[in-house]
Amino acid sequence: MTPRTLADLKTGERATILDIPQDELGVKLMEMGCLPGSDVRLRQVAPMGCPICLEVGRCLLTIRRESAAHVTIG
Amino acid sequence: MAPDVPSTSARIRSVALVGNPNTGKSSVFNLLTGLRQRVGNFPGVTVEKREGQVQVPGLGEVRLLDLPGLYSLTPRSADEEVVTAVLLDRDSPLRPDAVVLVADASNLKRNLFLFTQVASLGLPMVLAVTMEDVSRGLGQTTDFQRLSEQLGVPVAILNPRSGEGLDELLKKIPHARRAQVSLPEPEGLNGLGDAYREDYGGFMLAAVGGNGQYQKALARDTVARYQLLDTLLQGVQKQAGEARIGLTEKLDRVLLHPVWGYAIFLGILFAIFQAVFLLASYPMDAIDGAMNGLSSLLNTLLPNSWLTRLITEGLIPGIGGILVFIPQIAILFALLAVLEDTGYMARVIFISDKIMRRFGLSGRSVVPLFSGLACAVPAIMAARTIENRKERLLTILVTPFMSCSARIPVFTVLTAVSVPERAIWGFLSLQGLVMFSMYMIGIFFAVGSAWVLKLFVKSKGRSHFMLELPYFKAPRWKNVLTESYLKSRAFVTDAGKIILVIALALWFLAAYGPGDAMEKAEARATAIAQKDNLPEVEAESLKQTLKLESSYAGVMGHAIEPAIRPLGFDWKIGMALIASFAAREVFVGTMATIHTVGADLEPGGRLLERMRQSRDAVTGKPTYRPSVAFSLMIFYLLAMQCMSTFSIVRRETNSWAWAIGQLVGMTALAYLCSWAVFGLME
Repeated sequence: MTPRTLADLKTGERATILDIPQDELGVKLMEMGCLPGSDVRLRQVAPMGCPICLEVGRCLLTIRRESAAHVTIG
Repeated sequence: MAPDVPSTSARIRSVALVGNPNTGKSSVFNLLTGLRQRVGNFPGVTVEKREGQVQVPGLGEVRLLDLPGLYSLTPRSADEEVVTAVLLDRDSPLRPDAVVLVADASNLKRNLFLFTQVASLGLPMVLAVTMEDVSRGLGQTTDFQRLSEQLGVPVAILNPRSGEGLDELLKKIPHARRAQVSLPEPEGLNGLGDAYREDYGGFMLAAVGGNGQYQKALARDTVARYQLLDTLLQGVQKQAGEARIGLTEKLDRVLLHPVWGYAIFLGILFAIFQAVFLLASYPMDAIDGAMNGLSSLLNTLLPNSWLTRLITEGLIPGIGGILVFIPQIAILFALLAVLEDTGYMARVIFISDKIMRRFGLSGRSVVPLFSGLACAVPAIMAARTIENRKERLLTILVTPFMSCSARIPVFTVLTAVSVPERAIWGFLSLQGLVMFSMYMIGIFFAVGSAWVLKLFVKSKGRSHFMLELPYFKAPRWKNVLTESYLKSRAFVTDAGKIILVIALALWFLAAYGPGDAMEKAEARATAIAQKDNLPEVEAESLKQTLKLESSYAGVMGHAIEPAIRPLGFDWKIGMALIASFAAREVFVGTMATIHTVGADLEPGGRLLERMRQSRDAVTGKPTYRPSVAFSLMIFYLLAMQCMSTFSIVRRETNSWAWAIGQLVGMTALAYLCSWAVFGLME
């Protein structure tokens, strides 16, 4: 089974980040506070399904779905 | 920790404000410097640089630099690249002596991440904490004394809304210190360890956009910094109870709703338009009147010479032509600043990203496209926030299709001449509807051409859309006014200079002709007037018309007539086209010159009457019949008749090819569409 990613979250669902790629995208997500072990909640999904708005701590972070698919959750 | 680090105050001559977006950083800057600030560009690029002088107790005048908000020292867009270079490059002439790091207390850890990075650069720092009230409202309690001890720098608590704490901040600037953040060197740096230890700025400059090894090093460094912050912040901030669902989330359920979200957005857009048109019309009329009055006054006071005419027919209308746009531009930018300041603009970006991407644009393109409704120059600069190079380039290329305020007078005159003043369905003004459809056609061509261009523009480099939705807050009116003032000032200095030069050149071309052509025209007019026994006013008018036809401008108009005949234009319109090649708003002035030259330069109605009566010399049909007027409006909507935009596109894309390509492409498209419109309607 492929691991679940941030892109698989349902609205309102909470999850813990397991792994973030160590590339440009990953660095930027981590700088915004999305680190391995951080709790996130899928706060809202834009009409038409993309982008998505995550709540990480106090930060409301929006990213496109294809970026979210690189972050595995547990 | 280590309070015995020597104070660096003796060397502090310049201070930079650094912080995340939405921390109130720019408000702090505006409060400290007021309107004494200068907006310039960073050397060589057009990233906005705000600077001002501020009196610091114990230091005297200090240069204060406001750097655009950023989350980290790894830049994600064109404007952040320049900002980070100022901090990272030890040899940068702009590198400040000290940094005031502005941090949002309600999201402290994320804000302090940037603090640790700036600290690693070895710059003396002061921490300015904002949003302390918001933080308390969320149930957070913060021990700022302990925070200051942990970080090893002075901490000032600020309220940018009321200005509370500003004096405290100023008093602390001389005590700026190098922060005491000791990081364990991240594992796996391999050969990069030395660079990392000795010159963190140099390491970052190399790492950004670097290969996989650098990216891994950055990732590990980021994790290490957050772990350090977890340790430092222990016992500094406590959270009492669960955070409840706040006002922002409730509002977002409506504002981001698939139906209501777009409905509200369109409603706000419509309201902005109404406001801009209604509110701006009063100051615009006043400016118009004042300029006409000044011209006639000077005409009576000054001796009749070429210099007087240069002033009253060239210079003053030229300046008036710039001033008259300021009300609309100022109001539109003030309203956009309100949307930005409250946090609503980020929502618009969020709900439009998916749609915009179908056309090869980004959600972030919404801001430049909006601003393009006022003036393309600041709008194209606003495209810098777009992370993806292709999306940014496409946005720059299509923004000039948005109907800017310079087109409004052109449309107003042409609809007034060709469209009857009638209401349809009882309440919709037909003329208003024509104006509105021009806007819609502009939007259609903007997104449509982006959709076509995206097939041809090659994508260089990957980047990732990432946007923080700020929590909603009331707009800070002072900020709004400052924004609007600065943008309007940019219009006057950037676009205004070009418009003025053109107005003067145009006056020359219309007032002088090759060889003795002007004298001959005058003699011919006198002869006709005597033969037909014309009254003095008409004789004068005839003289001016014949002189204009013989002037350089008239010669040029005749020269291009064969090329524009298919669009329904005669040589007079040709003259207007040539005149507005570099600034389209010159059209109305040229129309006034062509149709009311001479003694009876009455404002408004007289010009429209003259234009209605004007006949095409070749066909004998009215010159401004609907087919011609619409063809002309489409031409002015689609053609790139703006030298200021051309130069800003060249600067922003750093390419003559794109700028020239855009100029040629838009003009060709305008020609084709005008031809089609004229053909269909005639």
